[in-house]
Amino acid sequence: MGDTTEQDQRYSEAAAEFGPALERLARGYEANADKRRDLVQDIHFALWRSLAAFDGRCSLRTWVYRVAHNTATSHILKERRQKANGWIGLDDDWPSDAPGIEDSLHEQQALNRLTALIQRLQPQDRQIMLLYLENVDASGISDITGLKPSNVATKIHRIKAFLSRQFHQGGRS
Amino acid sequence: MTDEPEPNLQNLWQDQPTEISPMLLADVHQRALKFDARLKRGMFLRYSETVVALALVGFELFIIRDGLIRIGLFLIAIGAMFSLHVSRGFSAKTRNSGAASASQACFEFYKEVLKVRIRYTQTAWAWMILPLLPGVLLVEYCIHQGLGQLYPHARISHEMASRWTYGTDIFLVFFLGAYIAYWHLRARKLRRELAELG
Repeated sequence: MGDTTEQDQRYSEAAAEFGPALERLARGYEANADKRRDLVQDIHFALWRSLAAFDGRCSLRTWVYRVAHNTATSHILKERRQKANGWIGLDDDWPSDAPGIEDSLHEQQALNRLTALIQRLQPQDRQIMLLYLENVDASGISDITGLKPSNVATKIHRIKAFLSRQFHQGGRS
Repeated sequence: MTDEPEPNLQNLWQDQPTEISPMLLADVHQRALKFDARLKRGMFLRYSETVVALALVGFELFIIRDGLIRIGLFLIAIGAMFSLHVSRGFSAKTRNSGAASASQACFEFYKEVLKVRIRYTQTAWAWMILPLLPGVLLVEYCIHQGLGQLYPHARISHEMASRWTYGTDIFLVFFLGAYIAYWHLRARKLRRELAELG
């Protein structure tokens, strides 16, 4: 029972600190509002379950993001609405069926555009993009994703170029 | 911190309003109870399926006098239980991956999930269909030998029995071919996805 109490306490701390970030993360994975709510709950449940085994070998932030991204990745793999060949890469152009740059004048529309863009990314690029947007530094991203820091640095560089291309130069080919 | 050529986007992303109310600890506990109940229900359903299948085979064994058919049905039952056993193993692996996911970095986790799915799709036909095949073929053979003799009270002509068995043969071959091709295609897609990860 003592363990459960500790697990509950850790979960409460994690939920209080990362709750909003987890919701934003879910937004990057699921466009449908109802399914997104389910995904957020799945992430919270997976987090609570996992915290029974939390041993402090990594920071709580790394742990929380790992669980959240892994749960969300399982979710999109299960859903498979965006098939593997439907995902876009960081070097690709903005999909023609997505909102145009002219809509990005307003903040909300820019946010919608950014969210739609993230939801089309391959899982790995999506994870790095979401962590980058949450201001997680390169070594933090490396800890969470398991990629080498040099690879993360390259990816971040490409993400910046990608965002700059999509939001400042029109994006469409 | 990373350089910030897109500070607006980072701020924009982090400042977006939250829509979902925070999940309370009581809700998480409730979900844990539901999760356990779902697992138990799933196990119960699987056992029920086995019991129903065995009851049907037992009934057929009771009705049918032919020794070869009896052996065929027995083999089908064994094959079905083997399939169920392997399927349970995959389900357990998928179920446990949730709790184990935290210890894995995302990249490794993603690769692991893909590998499990590839193994599943590559071997699905072997453990879903193959174990049933000896029994099915034996039963098919016996049916081909003389359907009328198996059910002495039923009035089935030789011609009708022949047509029925050939039809079943054709269906089985097409079904098996389509089934293997389907899983093979799925496995190929997943292998390509895994290869792209490097």
